[in-house]
Amino acid sequence: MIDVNKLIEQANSLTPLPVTTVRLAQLVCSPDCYLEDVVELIGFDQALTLKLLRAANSAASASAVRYGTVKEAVARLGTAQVLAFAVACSTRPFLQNSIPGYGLDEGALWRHSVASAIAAEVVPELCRVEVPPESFTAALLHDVGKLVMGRFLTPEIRGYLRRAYEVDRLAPREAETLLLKVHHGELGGIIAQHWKLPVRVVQGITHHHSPDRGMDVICDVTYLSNQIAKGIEANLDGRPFEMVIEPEVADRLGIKPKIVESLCPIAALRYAQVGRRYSAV
Amino acid sequence: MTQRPPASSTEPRSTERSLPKPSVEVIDVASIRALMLSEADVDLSSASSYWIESRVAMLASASSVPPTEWLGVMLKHGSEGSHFRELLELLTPGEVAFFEDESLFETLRRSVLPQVMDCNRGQKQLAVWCVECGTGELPYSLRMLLDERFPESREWSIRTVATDSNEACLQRAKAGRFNQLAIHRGLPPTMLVNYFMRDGFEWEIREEFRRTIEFHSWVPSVRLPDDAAFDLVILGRRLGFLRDSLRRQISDRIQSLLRPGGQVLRAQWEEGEGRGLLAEAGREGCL
Repeated sequence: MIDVNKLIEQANSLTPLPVTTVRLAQLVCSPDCYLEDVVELIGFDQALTLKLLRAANSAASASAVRYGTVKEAVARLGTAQVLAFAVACSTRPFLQNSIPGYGLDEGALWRHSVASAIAAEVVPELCRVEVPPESFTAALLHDVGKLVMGRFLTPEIRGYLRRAYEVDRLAPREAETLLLKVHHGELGGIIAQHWKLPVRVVQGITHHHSPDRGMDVICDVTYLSNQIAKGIEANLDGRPFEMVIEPEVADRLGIKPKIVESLCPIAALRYAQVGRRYSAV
Repeated sequence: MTQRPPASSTEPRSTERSLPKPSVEVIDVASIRALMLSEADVDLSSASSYWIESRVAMLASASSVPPTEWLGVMLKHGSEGSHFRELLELLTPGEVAFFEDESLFETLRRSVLPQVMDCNRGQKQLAVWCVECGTGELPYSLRMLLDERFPESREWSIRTVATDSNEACLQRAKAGRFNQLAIHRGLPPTMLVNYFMRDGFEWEIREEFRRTIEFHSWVPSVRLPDDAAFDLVILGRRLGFLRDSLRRQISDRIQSLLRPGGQVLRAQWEEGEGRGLLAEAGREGCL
């Protein structure tokens, strides 16, 4: 049906991320990450510098203060958000594309990715465990595997997948695994590895539909961010949406059931406030 | 990989019939089920039709012919034709991930291996058989577990036999080469470093470790070797596709090969792809 080795080959053939982004990822995720090092690294990349300043100064950043230097911008946004922003700059050309195999119009995956990254910014404020800095990047890229998988989803395969959803009530990850022997999370993990992103980002992407298997809090955060992003999008479209998350995930993150209900409105507000930051990408 | 049990595994098949088909071709699933049962003792009665159809479509696509045409040839030649063997292999997949069945490996680590090793501490010998080993993840996982968690076993004489009825799977297991997906599924990073070498997009199990396992072709329905005797037998997932009566026969025969204190365990398997039903792993009196 699908040659898995061809999928792997294509995942490993995507244009690599810029050196600055890769080094930034390594730096931000290192225990010895200093603001000065991040500022120095970004300073070498003029395009990223300009975009970062634009993002920090955007009205979306909800600040009357103007940021004129990279140091001020990084201090304003935080190193983890700066990493997610840099990754967004590098990946937007991919994420912006339509993916007919998944029924995604042009820009749809990008919007969902940004909503997820912003949702990941909300999660640490509501949970009781420490959220790793790689979480925003993992949330941003959680569906990146669809870029490659989507190329292989012929109408015939989509028909079988639809029947798996409808007949056996399988979730997308389960249906893809059953019929194609691989799901888009796993493929996304391979892409993240190819892009030399940190191991925890790879984990978060791979297990965003199966956080129990990931055995790392980043998988829970990525899973939750994806769910919240769906709520944000439903809210924007005026569609009803019931936020349901796996109880085990809520337990591990220390999120109370009552808070779960308020996650989407809080995240939607945040999206309205800072979503345009990513317009600077 | 295993599937989580779907909530609607008992969904009436009429729901499926009412859904739009992916193509105008109608694949005769009932004939496939009947042929597989009569010729290969494989019970697909509960497997979802769409899943069986998708396997036929996959093979037809590889041959660049319409699915119904491909199936017509298969049904015409029956088990004598090459199409039958190809479809049987797809309908009874043997691949698992490294350490995929957590409860099996937990049982091995906590109780079974310590017990079996206690029984054999005098001779420092152990004989293990992985039946229907698939593409090798099961026996390699077992050997890695022994090596990592029971370091004393390095001083022992351990014979590990892995058999499979699918020649293609067996050749892949023998080669010990795994793609990125296989490696990412459940293999702890330290084990990746200790037992594998990277080669392009694949990883190859280290030669000295690969040699610790004997791979042989063996079809479960045929007679067992007379001189075989084992301390531990692990039954792989493909056995789960066989009809119940045959599974019981095989179980009885395998248990007759156990040495005193020997044990048989069953890997977690699905009763059939597309059904999503999982059996609990654990010690088995019978299959």
